[in-house]
Amino acid sequence: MSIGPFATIGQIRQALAAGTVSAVELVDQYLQRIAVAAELNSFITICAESALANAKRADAMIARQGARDLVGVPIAHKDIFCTAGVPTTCASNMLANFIAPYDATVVAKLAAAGAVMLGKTNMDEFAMGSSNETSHFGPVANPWDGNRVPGGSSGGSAAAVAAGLVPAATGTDTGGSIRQPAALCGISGLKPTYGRVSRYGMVAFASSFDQGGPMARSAADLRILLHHMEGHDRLDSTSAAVGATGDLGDHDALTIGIPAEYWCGLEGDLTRVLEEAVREVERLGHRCRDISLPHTRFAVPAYYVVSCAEASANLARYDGVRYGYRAGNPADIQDLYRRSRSEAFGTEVKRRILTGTYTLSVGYYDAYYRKAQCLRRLIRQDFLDAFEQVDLMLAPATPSPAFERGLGRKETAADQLDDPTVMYQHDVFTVPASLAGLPALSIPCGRLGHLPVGLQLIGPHFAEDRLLALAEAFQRETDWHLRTPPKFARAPV
Amino acid sequence: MFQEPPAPTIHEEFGRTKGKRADRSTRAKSGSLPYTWTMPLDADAIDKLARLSALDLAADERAQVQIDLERIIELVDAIQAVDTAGVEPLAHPLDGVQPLRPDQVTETVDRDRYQRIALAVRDGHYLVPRVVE
Repeated sequence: MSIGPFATIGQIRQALAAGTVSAVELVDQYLQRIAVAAELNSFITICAESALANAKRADAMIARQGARDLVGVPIAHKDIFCTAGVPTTCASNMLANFIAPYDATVVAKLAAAGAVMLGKTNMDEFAMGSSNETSHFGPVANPWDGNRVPGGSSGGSAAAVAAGLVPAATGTDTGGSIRQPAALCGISGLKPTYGRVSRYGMVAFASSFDQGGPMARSAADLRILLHHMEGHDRLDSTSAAVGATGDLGDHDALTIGIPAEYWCGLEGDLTRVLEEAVREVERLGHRCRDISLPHTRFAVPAYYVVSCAEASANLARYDGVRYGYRAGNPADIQDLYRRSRSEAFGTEVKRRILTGTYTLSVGYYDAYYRKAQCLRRLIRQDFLDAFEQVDLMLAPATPSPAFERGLGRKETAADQLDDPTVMYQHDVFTVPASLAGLPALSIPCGRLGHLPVGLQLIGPHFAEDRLLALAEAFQRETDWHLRTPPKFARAPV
Repeated sequence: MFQEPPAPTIHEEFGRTKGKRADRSTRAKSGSLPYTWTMPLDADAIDKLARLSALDLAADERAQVQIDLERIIELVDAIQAVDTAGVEPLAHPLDGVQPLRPDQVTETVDRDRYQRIALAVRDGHYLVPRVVE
């Protein structure tokens, strides 16, 4: 056994090919680490038996045909991706008993590439949250500081990768749910262009935003995973019929836009850390220039209007009849619907359904939903105009590093006040690209105290090749992505 | 000729009344905004939203929802400041259109497989409380 828990997929593939490690040994190692790090609560379901069986199959395949693709590489799936025969809870009591009768396309594709699924990771309930505190299965802790959140909604995936419990995991990003937890946990995470990765079998939150993507220890690993996740899918009518993400290799110097609106309200010395990242990008030979995205401050409001509207429609399917939670002894069918939903949805989910119902209601539709869709076009146009001048954009991923649990909650003598909009504002730098459907990634670029800081790169539609090329170049010159949380640094367990 | 009834005003629809956020209301009247409400949601409005959402809210929950929704609406109201005259709403981030495929049967429904995960099924039917007397 010659491979540590923080090995990249690239290193694992080499070791598997050289025969210095077996897929079974890898699964054993990571399962032990998952057990030891149970306090993180990063997994909802662990699939020890099937993982070992699949690892044995992978070893046999490697012995027969040599190592290829992801054969024998352990991964985890965010518990929003349907997995045939394995529970898919979406971290909700509503789906606590749900076992999908089919695999999501992403799950099927990664399995076909030979990846070995270790389990399903914790998340915010129905992906609604930025701190992983809304999970029915309890919050996830940040491996860098147990009192702080890992971000959300893909917090379990981010924490598991950061703590070396799995080399890579899938995530989904609606308003920042891959990039924000990647930033807060010090890992690399990519939200592809809307339509790049199939949504089939991904439990829906806001269908015009939801996009699956990879979370891993390096940009090079993101590229490997994306290659096995992307592609047109006839089962998803919003799936884009475009070619695979290419590899730019040695590329010309790029012009990188620095949007002025993204440098306000940053916590403490975050600006200084990010400015150092800008200098590093310039040292790589690229030219940085200031740009403006004038409608940025309307992105969070527009996002919460449109995403809650879509959520209220999508979550109407949970009625206690065909699958999911069913209330006991209903008086009539309305009682069955209402009590099933009321007993099984958590507070944040109800809040967003009600918000969406409000903004879609007669008399409000034009003032909110339609208006927000107009804003969405203006925000997208800001980006399209700017991308006439620049090849990529560079910005903070989040306004602060990992925060303590209970953001927005103020305990007073009288009562407990919980202001959900404080948390919503933490998405301020990630929602604009989501509204515009643009690809964006977050990579570690420094530290603030003991906490990692994320650098966000945003690209034009389907320019994942350019995003990944710059991120890989950045990681060849820096070692922030190789830093590991002290508490979990010791190998193997 | 048949005429559609006028859409209810926002005031009628959700029982917003004049009060707390008069500053915004004033701005709405003097500015270019197409409506003139701005008030806290009252209890009836919350009940109506809960009914439309098929949610039961307990009394304490209802009070909290009211506070939360007011905060959220205050947050999203920022978009009202933007003049969007002449801007087409964007429903799909790539401005895409729905692709169509040939009208051929490609899938079959395996009822037994799908009903295996339902909690109340009999003879191939989903069971619900009686809806017809």
